[in-house]
Amino acid sequence: MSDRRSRRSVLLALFLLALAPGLRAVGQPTPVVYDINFSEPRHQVNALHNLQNQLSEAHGAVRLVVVLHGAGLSLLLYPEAMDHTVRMPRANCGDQMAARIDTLRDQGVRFLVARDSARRHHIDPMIDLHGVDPEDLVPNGLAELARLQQRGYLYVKP
Amino acid sequence: MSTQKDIELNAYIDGELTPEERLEVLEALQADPALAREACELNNLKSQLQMAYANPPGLSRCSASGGSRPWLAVAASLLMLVAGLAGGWIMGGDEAVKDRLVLLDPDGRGQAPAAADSDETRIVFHLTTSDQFAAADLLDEVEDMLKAYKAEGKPLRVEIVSNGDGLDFLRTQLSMFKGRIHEMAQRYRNLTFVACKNTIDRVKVKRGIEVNIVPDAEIINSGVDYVVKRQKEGWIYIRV
Repeated sequence: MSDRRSRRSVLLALFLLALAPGLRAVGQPTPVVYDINFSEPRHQVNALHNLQNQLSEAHGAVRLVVVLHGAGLSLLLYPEAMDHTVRMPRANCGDQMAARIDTLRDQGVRFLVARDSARRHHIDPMIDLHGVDPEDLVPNGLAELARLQQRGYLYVKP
Repeated sequence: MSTQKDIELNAYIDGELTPEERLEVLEALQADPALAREACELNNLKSQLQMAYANPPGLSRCSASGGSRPWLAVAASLLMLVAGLAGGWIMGGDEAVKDRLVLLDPDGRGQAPAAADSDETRIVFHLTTSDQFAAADLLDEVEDMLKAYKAEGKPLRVEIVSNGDGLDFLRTQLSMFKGRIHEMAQRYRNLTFVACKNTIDRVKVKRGIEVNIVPDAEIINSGVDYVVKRQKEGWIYIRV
């Protein structure tokens, strides 16, 4: 049920976002931030599909940033790192998920990681998470979501 | 479905019924899923119409929310987006806003924030799930954020609005976080917990039980209306 619900919301969101370029200055990519704090693998894969669909639809007229916080860090967490984490429900970054992430990164999607969440769940972002650079780390996921929205990013919760 | 019921449903959505009539409709909604669904769709339509006008005509004290929760969530996200886009459109001609968009840096991270640091950051969190993991994470992350803002001397106001399944978080009998909520509400004056009365009423009617809310929470009529209103007032929206 929650999957169906989220799919519906996202479809509506994407439909409205498709209208957004017309409302903004021409040539200005629409900045959008995705909020991922859930760990259910199918839900995460759906979110990645949403990102890809939006990229394909917008032909470069969109700038996508994903904020991973809380259980959402499981998206980039290697299964072999699961053992030493605390209160982390899943580790979803097997080969297939890693390939999906890489494809999106190659197209300019940024995955930001909340340092507070990593610390709380005993995750070393540089070692346990897939392809994270120091500049991908933000101090706090919620504060980053707030900051980006204040700066004009549209908020999507897949 | 009869015309009479149609009229009653509309009156119910518009909050024009007496408490007795209201209870009658609530019972009918509970007995008839199709009717509940219709009520929900009517309510969604009403909310969307309200969003289309800056000042909705008439007083809408407390809008109803029928049985089907997914639709509420969809309506909420839809309204958020409509609000956001409408805002962008309304301000579209404004040079200051164009400048603000230009300020966005190419890598999406930013130099100087467009909003001045002296401005208070106001965030409304919308909790609609009974997932304990999500609630625990939320409290941890919110506390981290409150501390960080305090340490940097930046003003911040946070509200956590619970409705639908998310109300469990604030129910005395069900919440696993009563102690933590009380502690945080005491420690941070800029943090408010908010419970939705529509959900409380619905649970009461549906299960025939008394619903008690932790004393640290404030109770408002409709959680969905509330988060929409907050966004209209310029609050940042984050769904848990």
